[in-house]
Amino acid sequence: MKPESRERDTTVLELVVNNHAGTLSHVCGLFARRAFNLDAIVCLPMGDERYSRIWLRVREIDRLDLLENQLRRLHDVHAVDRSGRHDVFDGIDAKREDPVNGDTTISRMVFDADPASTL
Amino acid sequence: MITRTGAALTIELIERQGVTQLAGVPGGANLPLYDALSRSRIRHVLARHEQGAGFIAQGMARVSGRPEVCFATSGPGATNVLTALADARLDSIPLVCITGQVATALIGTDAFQEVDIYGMSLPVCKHNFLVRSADELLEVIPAAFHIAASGRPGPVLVDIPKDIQQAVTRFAQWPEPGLAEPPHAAPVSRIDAAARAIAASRRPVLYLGGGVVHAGGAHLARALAERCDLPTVLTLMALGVLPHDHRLSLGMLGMHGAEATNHALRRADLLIAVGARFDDRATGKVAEFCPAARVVHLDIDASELHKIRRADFPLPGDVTPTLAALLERLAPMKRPAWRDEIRVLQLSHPAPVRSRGMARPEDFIRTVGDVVGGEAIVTTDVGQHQMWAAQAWPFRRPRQWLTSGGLGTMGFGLPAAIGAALAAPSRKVVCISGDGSLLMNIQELATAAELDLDIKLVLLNNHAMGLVRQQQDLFYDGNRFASDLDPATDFCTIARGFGWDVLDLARRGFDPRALDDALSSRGPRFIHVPVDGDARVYPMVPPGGANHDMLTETACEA
Repeated sequence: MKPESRERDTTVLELVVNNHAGTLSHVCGLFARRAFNLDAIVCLPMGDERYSRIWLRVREIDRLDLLENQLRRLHDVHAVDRSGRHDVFDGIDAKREDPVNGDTTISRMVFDADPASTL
Repeated sequence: MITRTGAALTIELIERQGVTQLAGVPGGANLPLYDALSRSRIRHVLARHEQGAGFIAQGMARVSGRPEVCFATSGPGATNVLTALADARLDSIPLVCITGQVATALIGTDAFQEVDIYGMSLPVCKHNFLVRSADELLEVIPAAFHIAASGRPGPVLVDIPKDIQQAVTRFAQWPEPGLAEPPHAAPVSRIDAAARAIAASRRPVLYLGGGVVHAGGAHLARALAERCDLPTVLTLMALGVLPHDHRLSLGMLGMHGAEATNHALRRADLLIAVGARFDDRATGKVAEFCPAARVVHLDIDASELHKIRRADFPLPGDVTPTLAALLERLAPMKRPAWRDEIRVLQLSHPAPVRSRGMARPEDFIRTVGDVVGGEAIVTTDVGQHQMWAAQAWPFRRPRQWLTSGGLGTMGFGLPAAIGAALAAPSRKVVCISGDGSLLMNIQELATAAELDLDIKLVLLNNHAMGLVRQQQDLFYDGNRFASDLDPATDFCTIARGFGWDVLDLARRGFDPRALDDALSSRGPRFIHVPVDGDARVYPMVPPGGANHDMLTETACEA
């Protein structure tokens, strides 16, 4: 699927979470047990390193509202926002021409996980 | 500075939460905790299986309303307790489960009795912790109690590696105990709108769930029903919120609810759901559940709103302050036309008349309930006997009824009864069980006998997993397969072997005086009751069917 058409069907959830082992398991587990594929994940510590910001690119489906509410219910999740797209994913791509021998190119611009919005 | 090992610190933090008794089973990876526990004021109840320990803690929590504690060791101990945690999650029961884990350096090496219980318990707990250092316990243990008790209650697992139990830590002061967050009401504007909808409706039904019990809001739910003249249905988890003979009670709704109740719901123009989650056993086919009704939905867990049924008036908030706020806005009203309409439904679909004796299992259950009275606690296992008890027990008050609703765990009844007897030693506890269910945690007969608890175990024995067989009869062309149990199993001898006094009604026939004696005596009593293998639970909504399409005894047994 071309990136543009993929982005049209997807949306981005932006989470503020506790930065410790296990948080990602809680978040991803919620999606996995509903057989709900996470298209892309970025997680970075915030300025206050007790917290991290997670961006999840997911398919827009009817049950996303429920998943969003259930994310809010997790003890390690402090905030959930939804936006159509997010520039954290701009320029990031996993390309592998040859799955065995080809090289993977990941190029990224610098991104700040701790912009204006905080807890 | 205060100096403690991780194990001693854990035990003292639990003590500081006000916990006076806990259930568990020791093993290699939690022995430091047990060593510390032996020197504390906390009473330890030795279960005979970790699932039993989990359900004993649940029985205590369902009666006390506070988080209660169970212990298990790593590996099989931890996996054994998992079912009780999943059960607590689905019924919103506050629990703190502390598991021993192999030493930190061994985690991930497939060490003896190592399982990733943190990972395994993720989807069935409200939250879970893997403790990485002894000083972390100062934060984790109070947090576990805080999370278990706050908002919608639930189970929390704390996995503590053995080296951390043994490590020594120093700290300046004790943390505050973890308490439940104070309750908050739903937003005022939404309460206003919901109150107007209630006042304006012509055929409202109040639909109460287990959340009303957990929130301690039963008196307010009853006040709302009475003030606004609201016919009221109860989920399995809410039985007891209204006395069974209350003029507004329509009893249980759903798969095994009364016919008239399900028909009344079909005509409702407003459904006021309080602490209920539109479970499929309650709603039947969702598209045909209360098709004409707008919905007011009050729940502490915002993710329950719109989950199954879109709410026209969503009220995210605690049941107690929100019901109080609704009551302030509503004047007394009468709905004679709607009540008459329901009375006509009840006359055309009359509830069965109960008689004293054991001609039918429901009759026997009602007889026992009448003898022990409203102060007694009743627990059940899962199956036909559970539904007969839900239909026939003379409920009087909340926290009287302990049953595995969401997970439907056979084996729940006996250990839950032990927990209830420990939490409320002055109350009599009756466990209604079946032969299939009892076998699943029968080892806890030893625990109850050792503690000499005032538990009356009523075993309704039909030599089968009756509800499975009933479904095979009704929906699988009568192909009874793998649902019969060996009639030669001698439960009375087994119970005596565990030290229980036995009343065998299979041998004596119905003997009211012997039954009264057994029920009114103190201590564990085992009452064996034969049940006709063809007896069924009616009415029954076929799984996936609409609630108004019930199979009735008259139609099926003709």
